[in-house]
Order: sequence, then structure tokens, then C-alpha cells
Amino acid sequence: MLELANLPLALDGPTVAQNAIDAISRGSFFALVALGVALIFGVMQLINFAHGELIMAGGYAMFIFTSEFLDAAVWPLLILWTLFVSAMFALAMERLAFRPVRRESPTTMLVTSFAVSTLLVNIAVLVWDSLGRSVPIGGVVLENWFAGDVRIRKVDVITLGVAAFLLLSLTFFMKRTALGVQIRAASEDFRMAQFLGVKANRVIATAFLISGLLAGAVALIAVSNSGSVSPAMGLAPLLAGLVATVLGGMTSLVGAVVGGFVLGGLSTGLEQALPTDLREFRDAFVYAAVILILLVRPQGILPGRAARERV
Amino acid sequence: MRDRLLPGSVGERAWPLLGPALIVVALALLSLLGSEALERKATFMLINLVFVVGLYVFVGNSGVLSFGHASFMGLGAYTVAILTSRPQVKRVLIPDAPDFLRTANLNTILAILLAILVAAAFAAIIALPLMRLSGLAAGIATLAVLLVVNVVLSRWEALTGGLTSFSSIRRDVGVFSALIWALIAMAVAYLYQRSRFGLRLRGTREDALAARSLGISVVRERSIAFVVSGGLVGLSGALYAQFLGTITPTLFFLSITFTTIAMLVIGGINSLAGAVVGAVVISGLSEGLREVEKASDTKNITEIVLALILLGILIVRPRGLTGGREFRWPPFGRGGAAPSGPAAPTPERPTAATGQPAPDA
Repeated sequence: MLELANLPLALDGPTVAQNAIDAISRGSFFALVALGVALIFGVMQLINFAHGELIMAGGYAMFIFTSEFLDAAVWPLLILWTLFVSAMFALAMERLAFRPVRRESPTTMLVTSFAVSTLLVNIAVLVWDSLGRSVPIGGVVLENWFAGDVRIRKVDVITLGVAAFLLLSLTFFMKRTALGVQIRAASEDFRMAQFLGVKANRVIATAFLISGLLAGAVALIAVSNSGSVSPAMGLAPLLAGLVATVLGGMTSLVGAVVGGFVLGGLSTGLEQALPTDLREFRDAFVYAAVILILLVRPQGILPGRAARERV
Repeated sequence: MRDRLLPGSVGERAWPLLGPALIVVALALLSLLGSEALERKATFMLINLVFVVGLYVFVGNSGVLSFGHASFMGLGAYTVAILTSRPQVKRVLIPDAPDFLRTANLNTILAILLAILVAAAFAAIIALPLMRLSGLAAGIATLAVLLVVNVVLSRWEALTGGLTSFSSIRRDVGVFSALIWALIAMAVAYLYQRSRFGLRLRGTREDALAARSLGISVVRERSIAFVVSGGLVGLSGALYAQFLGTITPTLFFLSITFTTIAMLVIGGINSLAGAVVGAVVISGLSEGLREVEKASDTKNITEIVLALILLGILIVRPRGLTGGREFRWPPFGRGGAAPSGPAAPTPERPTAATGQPAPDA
């Protein structure tokens, strides 16, 4: 019942190239979720379970846009609007729920994020009921290209393009801007960064803003794939993103991206490798493999400095 | 400075167990005065309490969070379901199961004990890789375990019936038996935290380096707690299956995971009193809200209001209602349980939980 993501697999031409495309597309999707989770964990040790609801908020923003305002054909506006709504939810979440508990234990913050998540999901159920609503995206997104036997879905290409663009601009932001450097410093050692004049509120709010934008991008991709939204739509990407984050080493942003691609590769690879009667257990094998990887590398693939147990 | 009874007197030592036990017994008996519906609510509360107390044994004493405990509950529930259902039922539900399981028709107590054993054994197996991880990574790795177990319970149709519900389980749990099991669970948790294993684990929670320098193996102590904790949560699953009579894999997934963690944190993560208070308060609130919801004919108001209350409590009392302290003797004296105002900034002193005289600050 728990699919890793809404990315349907190619049914034809199970060639290596086809699988590679699937794996990369799925991996970049997971990487975008993992980045949003790792960013927040880095600056405030919060495992944000409500990150999935930022994705959901973006999804419903798309639903409202296409059903109330305009056609999906006005896509630049649709994209801006979706990113805007997810980012606003992220900022509001930080200000109203997480800032008051920021000095408390990670567990307290985590339960706060459960509560925020439950709250938002149930508000969505109250307003739009728990069944899905369809979002007519249509158009170019659903078309395919063919290169010989290999089918390339345009939405996969778009996913990859969006992910690459976001990763590059995020890298630029983190390395080249003052605020980005401050966020990286805060992830390594928050207290030291504060001593050196980094403003906690600003850094954390910026991190939430970025994670909201990432969630908006994930919503755009997920809804383009599935053509529908539901209150629970954020859950599956979130779980995969969380696991990818741990795989990557919790605080390292590069690690989160790597973790996302490893998870994408694992899930696509196992889908092909498993015999048919075991295929429905795919997710069980994926997560068991994750546990095995952690067994070999308990600190994750690319541990950030803060992830080391402080003794 | 504090006017208590003799330091370390029987009352003082036993109160961290007796106090919560009295609350639980009183609530269970009160429910008998009400309707049958109220009794069922009380039974459900007691089952939640067994889960939260079990969760506390690991999370509270080790300081490591677990998202995987619902899988122990699921294992306990399905063990009881498979072992106690009538063979005629099983021939329809799980026709492909091995013969000895299909014909098994154990009595309740034996099935519950086996369920505890299965859950504890599974905990022991997964403790081997998981407990080597650092705190937060271990927490999320347990999430991976939960996902694996959920997929297996949902897909292994020969044994569990898959996503279709496993129905016609012998219903053999009422308020009384749930109360007795809850008291047993609390006693186990209490004895564990007073034992040398519990004290060592609490030492690693307070200062892992200091504990290691005294020759304490963090991995070993965490694993022991994980197994005890897994067994208790398996018990809650066994009771749950016999309480509901019908189970599906989704019952043992994220919703129960979040609810029970919230109960523990709201009560106060570092004390048995916190586990009990959290389970009682949140169960009570949510059942009360559900009545309001029914009466006012509005859907899912319960979840929304409950989430808001949770947020409120977390912001006002981030260390939980008990502040992570045990009940102190005398209960209404100056050493009473819940301090007024925000919880003290110092972490709970391990000595307070053992009932030995705490060095006064």
C-alpha cells in the first residue's frame, strides 16, 4: 500500500537505459525531499514530519489554481503560486509552532512537528474531504519521447531539469551568499555561529523558506505525475526523504542528495531484480537494504560534522 | 530541607509505582460505574497505556527515540490472532498457512505470553544492527523497520491475510484483564528502571562518555531495554487484537506510532509517571472530543482540536505534564509530583527515579 512515490514505472522495454532513466528521475525526486528535511535538521535538529504537509499545501494550491482561477496552461503563474503557498506555510510553521520550542529537546520538537502535520492534514480533510481531487495538468507533461525502444517521459526530463536547477542554485546560494554561508555555519555548530554574529531567527527562517520552496517544487512534480491531490499525498515522499536523509548522514546537504539517488536506484533496481512473486515486497527490501547500509556505515554515507555523536 | 518521611522509606521507594498504579486502578473502577461504552473506552485507554509504558522503557531510559514500536504491537496482535482463532475461521482467512498454525487454538494466556515472546525476539534481532547507530539515526532507522514490517504484514497473505482484515479473533479482553496486564507492565517498567540495567542505561542517557568510562556498554544496555520494551509493546498488541476482534495491518502503522509518542512526550518522556499520565490524559481527551464530535455532527474535529491542544501543551510545558519526574512521597507535600510553572532546567536526576534520597540542590 505504501508506494515510494507516485512515479509509475515504465512497463515497456525494460532495458538498462530505461531503468537508468527511471532511477535517476525517482532519485532526483527523493533528493529534493531529502534536501528540504536535511536543511531544517541541520540548522535546528528538528526532524520535520510536517514537511510532507508543505508538499500537500503546494498540491492543494495547484488544485485551487486550476479549479478556481485559471487554466494550468498559464504555467509560469501556476509555478510561482505553488512555490509561494508552500513557502508561506513553511514560514508560518516556523514562526507559530517551532520557534517557541526551539530550545527544547529534539524529541519535543519532533512531536511538535507531528502535531502540525496532523493539524494540517485534518484541516485539508475538513475542507476537501479525504478522497483525492484531480488536478488537470495535461498537455506537454504527459507526452513521451522515444529513442529507439526506450521511452522517455517528458515529466521525467522535467523532474530532472528542475532538480538539477534547484541543486545548482542552492549550491550557489550556500557557497556564494552571506546568508548561505551563515546557514552552513549554523549547521556545523549553531552556538559558535551565534557567537560570531549569525542571527538565529534569520538563519532558521531562511532555511524554512528554502525548504518550503523545495516542497513546492516537489508538489509540482508529484502532481504533474499523478494528476491528483489528497490530504495524505505528502506522507510517502516524506518517508522516503527521511530515510534518504539518514542514509546521507543527517546534516550534510550533499549527503541528502546522494541518499536520495541511492534510494531511487535501490527501489528501481530491486523492482527489476526481484522475482515476480516477491515484487510486491519491494519496499520491504528497499528499507531492509537501507538498514544494511547503515549497519556498515552507521554515520551515513557523507556525515556532516554535527551528525557525529558529541561525547 | 524537605520534610519527607525517612529517606528511602518503603513509601518513598514504592510511590513511583504505587502512585501511577492507584490512578489507573481508580479510573478502571470508575469506568465500571458507567455504561458499557465507557468500559470499552477504559479498556482501550489501558491498552494504549501498556504500549506507552513499553515505549517508555526504551525511549525514556535510553533517550533514543523509536518509531518502530508499532511493529512490535503488530507482531503481538497477529500472533494472538493466528494462535487463538478457531481453525474453521482460519481455513477461510489464511488457507495457505502452515498446518500447525492453522489448527492451533491456544488459550488466551498462553497466546499472550507467546505474543510477548515473538515481539521480544524480533526486538532482539533488530537490536543487533540498530543499537549500534547514534541516537537520532537509530530513531529513523527504526522507521525503516516499521516500513518493512508494515509491507510484510500487508503482503504476506498466507500468514496474515494481507490487507483484508483478520476478523473473528476471540474477544477475551475486558476492563479487568486489561487492568491486570497494565499493572504488570507498569511493574516491569518500574523494576527495570530500578535494576542495575536500568540505572546503567540512564547513566548512558545522561552522559554517554562518563558511562562508557565506567565500563558500561551503551550498545548492550540499549539492546536489553529494547527487548524488554518490545515485549511489553507486543503485549499491548496481543490485548488490542483480543479487544477489537478484527485487525488490519494499517492499525499498526504511523497513526498509532505518532499517537503513542505524543502521549509519552506530553506526559513527560523521562518518567514512568509521565508515560502513565500522558496515556491517560491524551486517551481521555481524545475520547471526550470524540463524544463532542458525535454530538455536534462535525467530522474530524477531534484530530484538529487534539493537535491544537498538543501544540499548546508543548509550548507551555515542553518537558511534559510531569516534567519527566516520578511521583514523590508524600504525594501532596512539597515534594509532590508536578512542579508548578515551567519545568526546571536541569535534567532529571537519575537518583530521583530510583527512590533513593536525591541529593538536594
